[in-house]
Amino acid sequence: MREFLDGHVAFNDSLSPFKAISKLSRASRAVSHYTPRNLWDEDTLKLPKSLQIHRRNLREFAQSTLAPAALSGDCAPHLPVGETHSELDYILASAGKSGMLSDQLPSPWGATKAINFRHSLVLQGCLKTEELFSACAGYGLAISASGLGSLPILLSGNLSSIRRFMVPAYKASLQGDAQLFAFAITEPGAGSDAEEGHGAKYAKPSVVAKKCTGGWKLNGRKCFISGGDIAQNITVFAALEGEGMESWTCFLVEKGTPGFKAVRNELKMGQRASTASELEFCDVYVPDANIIGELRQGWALNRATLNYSRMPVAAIALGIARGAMESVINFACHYQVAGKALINYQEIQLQVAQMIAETSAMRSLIWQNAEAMVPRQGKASMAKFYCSDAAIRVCDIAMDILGNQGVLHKNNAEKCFRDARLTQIYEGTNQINRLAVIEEYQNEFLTLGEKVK
Amino acid sequence: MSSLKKEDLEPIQDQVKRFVEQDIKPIVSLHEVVATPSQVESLLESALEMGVLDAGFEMGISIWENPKDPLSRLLSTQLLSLIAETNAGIAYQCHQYALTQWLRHTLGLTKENAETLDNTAISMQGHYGLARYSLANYLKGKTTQDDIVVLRDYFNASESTPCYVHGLNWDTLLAPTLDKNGVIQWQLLAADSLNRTEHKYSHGFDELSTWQWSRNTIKQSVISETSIIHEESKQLLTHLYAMNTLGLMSIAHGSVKHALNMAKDYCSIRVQGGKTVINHPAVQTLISQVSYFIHMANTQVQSACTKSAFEDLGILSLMRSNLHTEACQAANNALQCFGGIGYMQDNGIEKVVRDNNQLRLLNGTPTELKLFAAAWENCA
Repeated sequence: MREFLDGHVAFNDSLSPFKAISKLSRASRAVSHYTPRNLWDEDTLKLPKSLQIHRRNLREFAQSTLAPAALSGDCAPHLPVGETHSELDYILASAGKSGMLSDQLPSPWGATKAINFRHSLVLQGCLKTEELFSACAGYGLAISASGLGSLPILLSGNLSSIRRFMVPAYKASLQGDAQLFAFAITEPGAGSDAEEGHGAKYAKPSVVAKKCTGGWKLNGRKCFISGGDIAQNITVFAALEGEGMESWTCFLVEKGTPGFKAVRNELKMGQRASTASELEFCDVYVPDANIIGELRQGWALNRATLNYSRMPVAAIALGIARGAMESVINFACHYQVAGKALINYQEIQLQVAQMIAETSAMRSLIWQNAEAMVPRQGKASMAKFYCSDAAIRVCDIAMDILGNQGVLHKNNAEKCFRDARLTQIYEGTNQINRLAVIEEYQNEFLTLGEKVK
Repeated sequence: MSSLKKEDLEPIQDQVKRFVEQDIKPIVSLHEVVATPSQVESLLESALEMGVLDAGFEMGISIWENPKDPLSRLLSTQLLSLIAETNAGIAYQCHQYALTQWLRHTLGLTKENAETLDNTAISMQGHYGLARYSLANYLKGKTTQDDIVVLRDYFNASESTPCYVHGLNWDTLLAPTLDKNGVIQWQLLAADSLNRTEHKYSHGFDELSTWQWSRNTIKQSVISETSIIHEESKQLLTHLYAMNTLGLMSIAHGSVKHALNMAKDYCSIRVQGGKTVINHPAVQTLISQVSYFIHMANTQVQSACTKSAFEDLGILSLMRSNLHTEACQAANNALQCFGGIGYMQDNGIEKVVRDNNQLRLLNGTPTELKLFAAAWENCA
């Protein structure tokens, strides 16, 4: 093995900063000397012990189960609605057994150790999505979309709903029978309107609930619902008949309910191992007992859910960017140009350093803000749009380092670009998320305006 | 060859517009349905019949038929851009085909019947990038011993696998090689004697295939080989790279124009927050960048067709480096205007994004083009 890259000195060279600093006095060394670690370990060691273990377990699962199937899953044929490839079935069953589909509740109801609830659910979600999506965004989404679907139930704080819907699904998943949730807010005529208060004022709801004996009948369509065709439980947001979006109510619709079906799965640019479904509701009967929270609390549950989920989406972007970076560093370390591995060339080193800096900045922003036990809209949204934009920059660099081979699917970077592109769109476009930051701080701005008067 | 006049441009463009409307659009109108190789082949045949591609008629109106003439260069870029406004992959294939015919003609390797489709592909690049500074040094006639080492590795297709895109069936390949005197020659290689891999999945240009090839050390693959002197070799390569640069920039220009039209159409009917999205500053700023790109690209391509720019590969490389970076940003902005629906393949805008990434990566990435330009300048 070579001792140094071109343009650098070896670690044991007298001009190496590490060697030179190691020769300082004991007191100087105490504040200036260290041994460099690898990137992943360096960050992991910043976490509390229990989360370090959690992060290691997640990586092991993602790299051993998702990564080997990533490329084939991405280009597998588009199946009819509700059908799944055997790889996805295996991965979901494995995720279930590993506790990835039941981590929002403490054991014995869920898979998370009670001690880990000292740390925020959001931070744990971010660690999970970064690791899963660094291995494969498609399969990562198939797993993590379920957590999004069950969040409104959890956030409703209604123990009866949690016990009725989450606990049985969690138990089945832990046994290897993956019972998934899906989150259904987007409507054909209202993408961003479902994620922003000002837009919602003008939106005409597409899915409407009409009162009937003992419950409600839902009619209308939802679109782009991640995992909507394979989920057993769907949290569906619908307006009450004759009312606007302020009447939004969250209904839990179970798979197989008469009148409910997934009518199509989208052909997506990326994250292709998971589905985005259009769901149709034709007089779908939902009993009163399946209302999550209370009537007209849907808008609140939706926005609270987005506050919880946008930070993990930022971590999704980070995971994809990291996946692209790791693939391309691997390429640069073995691909030879004029007898030398690419990593020896300064122009490559500059680009690799940029990718490391971008992903480190993303992780810092996420980890710093995800620690809060109550996630804040402004912080969640700024992390989401900043990280998803940064992920595209990283994927661009990764493809550029590969040169003309950047177009090849087998080299992974182009897949990462396609996967990352969705993070600028879902959970509110980045434009909507920028406005969500302003919404958070609008009182401050209004006050400032008043002072000037 | 008859010389082209300014007044000839418009009727030729009209003819190509009809070709696009009548032949190309019906094949690519469903974005999620990829044109088959036989459909691409039949489009190329139509282009040959119409004289858009050189069928040996010597009318001076075909793409890259007469690159020494600035007006002919301008026409070539306009035709490629027009085709790319509907499908960048078809435009790229027309461009590659035209370059191949120009190269064959220049090397004296013209095929017997120019009126039928030529089954020759071209692999212009070596196995990685643009050989850092060394290709620029070679073209400037300032090759050092180090450059020879890099170029020998760059063109060594016995141990590496150059990558290129070609949409038709091919049985021969035109590829550069470095001879024992350090001069870049061209070889016509028999496809069945090469190790070649067709990649079923690559980032963009869904209607074309991405190939990697290497020489088979056992089978003799060379059908014919040039033996040109250094001066001739570098002049030929300089012109080939210049044409390629113009073509790729034009295709990016056309395809982003396509994206702008799609985005404007959608944004003028899609309502959000009580008004059409075109009335939201969040969308207006995205659309403005796309519009600006189109004007900038148009100006740059026109200026690149002038004599001074066409002969300065350093300037051309910098133009391309910047233009493709901006084109990718513009295509991304156009996609963003659509929100979720833009991410779906049947919408078509996501393909424009992928095609522009592909244009940025093939034949020199922005970083490689900057290194090339720096070396070109240093040699000046």
